[in-house]
Amino acid sequence: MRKYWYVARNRFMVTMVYRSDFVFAMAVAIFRTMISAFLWRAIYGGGENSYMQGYSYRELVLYLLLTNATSLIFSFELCFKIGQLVKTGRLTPYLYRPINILYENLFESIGASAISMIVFSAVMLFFDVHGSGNGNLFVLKLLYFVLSYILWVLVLSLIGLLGFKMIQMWPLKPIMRGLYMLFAGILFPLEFLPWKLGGFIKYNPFGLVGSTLTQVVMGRIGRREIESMILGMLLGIVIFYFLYNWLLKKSLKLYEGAGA
Amino acid sequence: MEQEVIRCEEVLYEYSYFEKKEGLGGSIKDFFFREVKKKKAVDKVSLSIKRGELVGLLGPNGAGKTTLIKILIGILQPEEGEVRCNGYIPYDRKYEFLKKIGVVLGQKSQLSWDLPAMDTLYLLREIYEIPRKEFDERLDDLAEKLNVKDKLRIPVRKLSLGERVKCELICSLIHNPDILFLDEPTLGMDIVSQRFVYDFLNDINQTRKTTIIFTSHYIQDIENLAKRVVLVKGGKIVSDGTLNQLKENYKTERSYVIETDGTKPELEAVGVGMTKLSDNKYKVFVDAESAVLKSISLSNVVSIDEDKMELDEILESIFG
Amino acid sequence: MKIRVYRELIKLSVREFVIYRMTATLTVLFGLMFYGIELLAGVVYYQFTDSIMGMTRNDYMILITTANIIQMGYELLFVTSHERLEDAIIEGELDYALIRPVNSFFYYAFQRIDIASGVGLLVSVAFLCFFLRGTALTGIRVAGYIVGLFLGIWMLFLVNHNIVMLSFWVEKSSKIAGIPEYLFELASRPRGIYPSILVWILSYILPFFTAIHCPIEMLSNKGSVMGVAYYLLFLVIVSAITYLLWNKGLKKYASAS
Repeated sequence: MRKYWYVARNRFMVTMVYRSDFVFAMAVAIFRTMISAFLWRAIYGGGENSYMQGYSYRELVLYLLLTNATSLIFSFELCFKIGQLVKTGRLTPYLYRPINILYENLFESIGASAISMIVFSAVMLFFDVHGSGNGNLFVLKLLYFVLSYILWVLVLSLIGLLGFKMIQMWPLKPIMRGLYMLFAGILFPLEFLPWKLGGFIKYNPFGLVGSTLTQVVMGRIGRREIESMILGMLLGIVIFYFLYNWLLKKSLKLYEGAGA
Repeated sequence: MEQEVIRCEEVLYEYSYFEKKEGLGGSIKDFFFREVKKKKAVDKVSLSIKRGELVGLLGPNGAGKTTLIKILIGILQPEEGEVRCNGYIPYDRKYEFLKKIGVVLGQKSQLSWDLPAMDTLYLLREIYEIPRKEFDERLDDLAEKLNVKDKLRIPVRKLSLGERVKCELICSLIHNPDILFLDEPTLGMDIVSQRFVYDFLNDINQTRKTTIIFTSHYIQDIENLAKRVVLVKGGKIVSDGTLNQLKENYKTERSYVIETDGTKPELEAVGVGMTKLSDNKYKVFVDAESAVLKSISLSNVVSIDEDKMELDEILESIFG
Repeated sequence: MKIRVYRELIKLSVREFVIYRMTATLTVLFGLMFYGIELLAGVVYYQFTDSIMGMTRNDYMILITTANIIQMGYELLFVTSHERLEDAIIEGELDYALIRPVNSFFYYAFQRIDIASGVGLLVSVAFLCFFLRGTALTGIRVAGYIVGLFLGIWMLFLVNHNIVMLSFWVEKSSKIAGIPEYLFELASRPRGIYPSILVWILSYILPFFTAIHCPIEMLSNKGSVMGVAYYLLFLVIVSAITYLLWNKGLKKYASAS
């Protein structure tokens, strides 16, 4: 395990070197929240006490802030890693070194978003203690956060396997951003979607790490639902883990080495 | 043949840079006050090249060869001095001037990476306003000579380095320029491709009377191509002449290597020194101003050769 | 730059587009996806209200569709050129452009078109026709709208071109490359929702609001002559400055490479 600790540590150091990237990403998240907040203020029409789908204006802004903050933790970087390694032939060392690429992905991601994760956990604790929802679920909420993170890494690693087949992976970036915007509930909570779509899609991987996580933090989801989602995520992790390993084995047959 | 196509007089070009100071304090100092330093890349260079010449600019890395080429093709404006290329001031970048020069920058490509070279050539046809018939004929001729007729329709990324350079050459000659500038054209190429390029360039120099100016730090390029060698060092021209003149100039002392049957050569001489090189080889050299070799016994001598300085040794002594 | 050269550049773009079929399909897809998300968001917003700052749902849809057409138009005509230009400046690959007998400013501005955005543009235009059904239109108003769109596209080009040109002087300027996109996103919402100072800045200093709202005002014949005159003057002056900066940037590039 020590080697993965070093992976996380090194990635964390890199993040420190490029800290301005982080500050910039944060500024963009705040900017986007601001646009949404102005728009929603107009929709609420200044009615301080009016509620929409159970959200007051203040709660909605809080929701938007938190979901936008999740986009700093759950990045898409991993999607493009394998594609890059395959294209440049730098995947080869992974094949002759005793290192598991999936675990490396996980720890690299943790290293990359360590600061945001710690801050987010602190916010979670704050809400648990002072929030209006059902409190004292911090450990359960933290477990939800950790499992959703692992599930996210698995899903991205799975998508990343496309890198064995696709020459150019960059078009995936805006697509992922778009999917995240819509399915993670960046613009509005998923329950706001028309035609009762929200009920179905809140359990999608993007929703689990965005909208649903935010609602867990805000105390809008009860103990029972969190527990069942945790069980669901555990099942998802097991399925995706085996699926990933199976697909990786198949994909490696496509790898031709340097410059492939 | 005698018409001057390039004339540089006292051309000076400096570039600015600043040295980063070490440590946090240094970085803060740099932030407020950057000490800008200047380096002369081309230092009062005067040069004249006549139509139809094939000139090699030779020098170590950072000598100023590429900067000089960039001044000649109009990318850089000299700070001092005068430059005329084909009668034009290059930096004015007049279209009439640009249409009469061809350029190959060895480390940069003008070809579209994902497309066949043909597509870039079609674009160049429109840029240089080449009549269709003329374009087809010239392309046919160049591709034939460079043996890449079947490569022009293959995506550039699938070509070997040698094939790519040949396509670059076609791109730079398709508008039939008067002057061809080549910056490190053979960089990274294998010996067979290099030879092919030499033959081709010699051929177009002979048949089309295209003036060719190229930079290189490869001795092979100079030996196979340049009829005139301009040595550049520290932004200055340190030598300018034919290859033989260069070798002659750097013959610092006259010496001979005598190969024997293993025994020492028997000489009767004044002012002549001798050192043993190996078991059966001896070097005989002039040791004083008035040296006289009265006699030498040939009974044990197998061969006598003049000990010439090779080009690489000459360059090493200049650039080293 | 001659039209024949531009025609060859368009042909190159088409050939490059079809090489990577998967990428091509995906880029078309994501172009449409963002527009789809914007439309869906519009549907969500108007579930809760009939009017946002006096804008009906249809007005809102016309607004975001107009913004999308301008964005797609910019991407169709210029975005690939800008990506290539930024790389070329950073990697020092502009040399060949400088030795060609063509105007380097226009040669680089019109280097490539982005076919995928063309598809997005067509889809947005189709939606616009749908949202405009039942609206009384005259030929002049439609012509004014189209001119307004082109002005908006040119405005986006100028802002992005200046940001790309920063690479001539500043290392790592790529981070701010996204700023016009964010400001454009901000401006593609009803003006009335923002504080007046922000609206003023984005109408007169960096007229993103004008870029999007001008064509719509032309269509509804609500625009002020003075406002349009100011916008035109702004574009002319910034175009001239951009051209001058380009030549200055080239000088800087040459001395640095």
